[in-house]
Amino acid sequence: MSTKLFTKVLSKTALRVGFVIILSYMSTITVDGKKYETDLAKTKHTLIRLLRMVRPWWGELTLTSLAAMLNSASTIALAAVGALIVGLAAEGTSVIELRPYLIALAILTVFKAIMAWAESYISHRIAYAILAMMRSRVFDAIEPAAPAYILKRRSGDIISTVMADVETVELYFAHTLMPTLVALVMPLTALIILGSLHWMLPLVLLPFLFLVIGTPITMHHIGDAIANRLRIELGETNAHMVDSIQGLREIVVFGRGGARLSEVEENSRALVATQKRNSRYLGSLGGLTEGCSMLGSLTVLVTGVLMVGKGMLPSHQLPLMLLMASAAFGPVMNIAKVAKQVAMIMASAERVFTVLDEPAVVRETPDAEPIGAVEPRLTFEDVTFRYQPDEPSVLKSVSFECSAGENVAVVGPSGSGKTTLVNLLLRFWDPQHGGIMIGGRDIRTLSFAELRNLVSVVQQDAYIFNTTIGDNIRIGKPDATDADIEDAARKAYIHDFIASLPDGYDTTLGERGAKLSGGERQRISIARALLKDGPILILDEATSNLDSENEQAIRDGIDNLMEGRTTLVIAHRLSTIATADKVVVLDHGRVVESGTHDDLMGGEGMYARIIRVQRDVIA
Amino acid sequence: MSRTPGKKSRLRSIATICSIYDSYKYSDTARSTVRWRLIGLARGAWSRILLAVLIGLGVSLINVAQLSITGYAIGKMFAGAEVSVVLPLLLIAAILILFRAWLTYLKETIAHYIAAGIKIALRNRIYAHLIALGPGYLGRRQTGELLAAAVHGVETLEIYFGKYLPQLVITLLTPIVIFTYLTILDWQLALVLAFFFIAALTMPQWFNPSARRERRRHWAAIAELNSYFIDSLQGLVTLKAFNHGKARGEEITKRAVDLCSAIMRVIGINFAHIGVTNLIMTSGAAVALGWGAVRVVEGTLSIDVLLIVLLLGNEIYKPILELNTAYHGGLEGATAAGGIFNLLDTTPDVTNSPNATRTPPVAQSIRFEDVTFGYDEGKRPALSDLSFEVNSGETVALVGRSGSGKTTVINLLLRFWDPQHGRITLGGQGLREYTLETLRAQASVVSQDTYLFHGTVADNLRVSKPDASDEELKRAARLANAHDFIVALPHGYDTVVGERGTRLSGGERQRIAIARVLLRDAPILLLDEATSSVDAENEAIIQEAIDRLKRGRTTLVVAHRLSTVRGADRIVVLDDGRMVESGSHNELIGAGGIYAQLVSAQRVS
Repeated sequence: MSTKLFTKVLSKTALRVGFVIILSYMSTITVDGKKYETDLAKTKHTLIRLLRMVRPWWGELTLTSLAAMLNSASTIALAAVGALIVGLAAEGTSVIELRPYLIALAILTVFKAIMAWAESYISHRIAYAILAMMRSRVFDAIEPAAPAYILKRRSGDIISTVMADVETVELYFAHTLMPTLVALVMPLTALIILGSLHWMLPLVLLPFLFLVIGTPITMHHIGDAIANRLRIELGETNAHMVDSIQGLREIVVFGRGGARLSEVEENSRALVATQKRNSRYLGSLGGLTEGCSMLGSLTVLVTGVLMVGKGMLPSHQLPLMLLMASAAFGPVMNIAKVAKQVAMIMASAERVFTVLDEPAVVRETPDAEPIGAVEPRLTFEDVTFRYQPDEPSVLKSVSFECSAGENVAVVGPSGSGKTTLVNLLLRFWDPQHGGIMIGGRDIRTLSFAELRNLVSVVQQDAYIFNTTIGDNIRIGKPDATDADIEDAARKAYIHDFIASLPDGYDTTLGERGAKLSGGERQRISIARALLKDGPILILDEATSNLDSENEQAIRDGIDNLMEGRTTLVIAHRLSTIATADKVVVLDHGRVVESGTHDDLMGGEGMYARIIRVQRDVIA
Repeated sequence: MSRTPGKKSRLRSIATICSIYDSYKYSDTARSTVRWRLIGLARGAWSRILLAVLIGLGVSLINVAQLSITGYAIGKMFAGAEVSVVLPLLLIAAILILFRAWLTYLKETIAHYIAAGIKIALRNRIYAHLIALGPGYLGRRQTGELLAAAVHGVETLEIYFGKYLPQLVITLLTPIVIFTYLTILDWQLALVLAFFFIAALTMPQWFNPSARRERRRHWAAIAELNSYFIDSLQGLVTLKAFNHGKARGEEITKRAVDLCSAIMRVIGINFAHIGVTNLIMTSGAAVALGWGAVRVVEGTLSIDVLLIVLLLGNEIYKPILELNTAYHGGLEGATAAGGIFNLLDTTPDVTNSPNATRTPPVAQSIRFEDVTFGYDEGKRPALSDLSFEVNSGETVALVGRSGSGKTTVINLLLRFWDPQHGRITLGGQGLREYTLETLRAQASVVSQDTYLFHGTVADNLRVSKPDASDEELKRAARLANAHDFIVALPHGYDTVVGERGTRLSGGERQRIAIARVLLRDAPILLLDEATSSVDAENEAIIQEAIDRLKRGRTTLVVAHRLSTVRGADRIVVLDDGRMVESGSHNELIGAGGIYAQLVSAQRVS
């Protein structure tokens, strides 16, 4: 009983010691070439949060821990049995007596292979299942934070988090948890077996074990400094190369190729010099720990030899002693590598968690009341909005109304707040003051689904997904039939074009719809809006130049779309404005004028001025 | 065709993933060609690689020696020898351990010494080649891809040369030495161990075909999730507007799960591979041990040999394990090399002709004679049979819809590409009769967006004239209407700008570009929609600077605004790569053609 209690206390202490070792490793973290002192609490928090993710896989985790322990147990048993066989053979036993040991050897060999396989397979299964979950959660976290969040960060960085950082976390679940466990269990077992031979043997081994664990810890400040320098220099070389490639046109035109080339070489040399320093550090660390571990085993053996010489121990225990001592070091040397890894994992995990914790910009009203049949009347009432607390307001007390079925054009110089109106109407953001009403009801009281069903948008730069044309239109209404889609395409004047493609509606469009012209993209976006059939239409007119043939088709498509709908047009074309029921002129976030085109042209206001100046632009 | 700054920072991981994925598409022969070429690269480092091999062999052999001595010492103890006899043996073992630790240090260090020279030379070669390929090549590629080759690819090769190559030789040589030694001890046990060694080396090959197939699927799953996620991010606003975000999230989950099961298949095979190898190795050691023990009992084997076998049992297989580790590096190296060689094998479209002259042209007149040019063979040409002329000192405006070939005219004039048909002359001589350097020294460009290098404002101005004095810089900046905003920057002319520095607005960048051109003082001026991305207020300031710039220079303007065009001596209207009209503003308005249509298409924005 007391031995059980003893091992329990011992293993708990060991666990705690292990934790402290790992945490002390993580006292500094290098992220993107900068060194951060992390308070342990934060790191612990990340660690625990990662651990919590394993919770649904407790069963598997228990299995893999079991396999890991059995695997290390059979490793030790194999060594012990082998040593015993040799010892027995030395004493001159009979073959019959050897037989059970030989059978044990055979069974253990196969058993160890199976356990080793089970350990890695199950732990990887857990790891990759968690990775899949994290990746899907990242998108779920970004979706409500968009587009605000996407504007803040480059999509390349987000992808890097989704692919690379999440992949790094795999190391935690598949290559950190079990090795840590094994690193605790294996040396402990080996020490206990050595102790059972003679109590002095573990005491001889312990200093060496501490040396092997302690060397990397005491040296890691040097190592970090070099690794830091290395990361900075690699970043420099990298950035310089990016600069050199992106500026290649200027470099070539100004005849600066030779000079740039010598800079490239200079950077290369500096990088290589630091890499050499780093490898000298890694080499000495490797040499030291390896030397310590082998000397440790040898010292145990020497102690054994001395004891045998004094008749304190039988000589046949010498091989067992040596093998047990070596067995203690393997996983411990591994743990240094693991601990190094943890710093990297934490940095990645924190980046992932930062994305996961991104607060939603706008919250959906829980259990919003369905709106039912609604009059498609759109009202902006005293709307004031700024994107960031420390930025000036983009909209200042904007009020206007689009009555049901009316066609209202919003005009104004760039930066006057036109696009913000659309962003607020779609509830990508909420205004700080005032509100937007549909049929008299504040849109904040609607569910997202209902609001977005009421409002159709034709964006200026319609995004085309890398899938078939049919699916791209179907985004407007996921359950639409092929006939619905074709009908929408016809009304958007894109059907003939689609039909002329070799695969028709099943033609894949490539990255960002690369195979389509601007006009074709625009018409696909019109078809989407037609298919969606919301009673309120937002039209963000394209500023870029389209060829005249396309332009006519687009205008016809838009006419079809506007029919019977309340329309708000962010207008750039005179022809659009001229036919609007009402024109609202925005300037610096304020409504400065409103009225019909003719009314406004009659005055000497901003509108009349804009029209006259911009007539000057050609193609 | 122009650079697209938005896409510039495609991620390293993506680029690497994609290049690895691409490499799986190569045939095996293509891959083995790459391997041979890679070994060719190491030519200068042979002696160092040999040294690495010797050190690696030393580590293995010292280990064998140390274990043998230890085993022998234990055997002596069994035989009842005196401790004073055994202890010196163990002291030798301790010395060997220390020696081995030193060699381990050397082994780690030498990798970088091998690779250093190769890496430096290779980076130089790549960048020099990029300069030769010129912006024409760049226009068709993504920077990420090039970066993957030039930076990460080169780094990856370090493992190839520093670790993989030497380890390959070590793995081949060490067993030979060890087995010779074992044969001397006891040929029967040596045979048993050799049998399992060969089995461990060859049996896993059975897994290779399915492993390769699954790996390919795995990369495909990564690429799929990756591109689907990018697509979803970039189209997220559209998705949200159509209330489609949740559904898209589920699609992403599906792909993430696909990736998970793809990798689990790879891992399943991998672990089966590792498991079988490990089983064979442990079995080898166990069989040798068991059989040896039986023979010791029977009296046909000495206990010393059995002890050595016990201690050496797993050591024999170490080279295989190390090779497995290095193999991964080897694979990545071969992949990276594929990308690098692809780049180095691309021949420049435009080169200096052998009899090109360095003498600058006598006059600045430019003539296009029946020029036809397409960026890609087989596609619709960007320019067809284009002929026009710009006389010395004249300003000619090129007008047309986007895609009509205006920018291509400038690209051809700078010889980023050469036309397929027809001829372009400068001062009456064909462009190809000048060296590229001479030709490009004649012209300055202000384009739609100006690239600023990471560095100070002054550095960026000096790009066009490295030896310009501070006074010259300031004068040019004043003339370019840039001095005032530069002085207002936090550190004036020493403010760091560019990707990682202070961001300048489009208009400010344009004025820096104009100052560069003024410093350079080349006789021909090319303006490529210089003011198109600038707001009206800035435009007036820039236009004023441009007017100063045009003085006394032959100018070709790709025009966007009517105000620019009105000042031109002549207007050339392009449509679909052809010249459809030319004449003065008033003439063209009177003619009522495309130009008149463009002018009358009023826009409000």
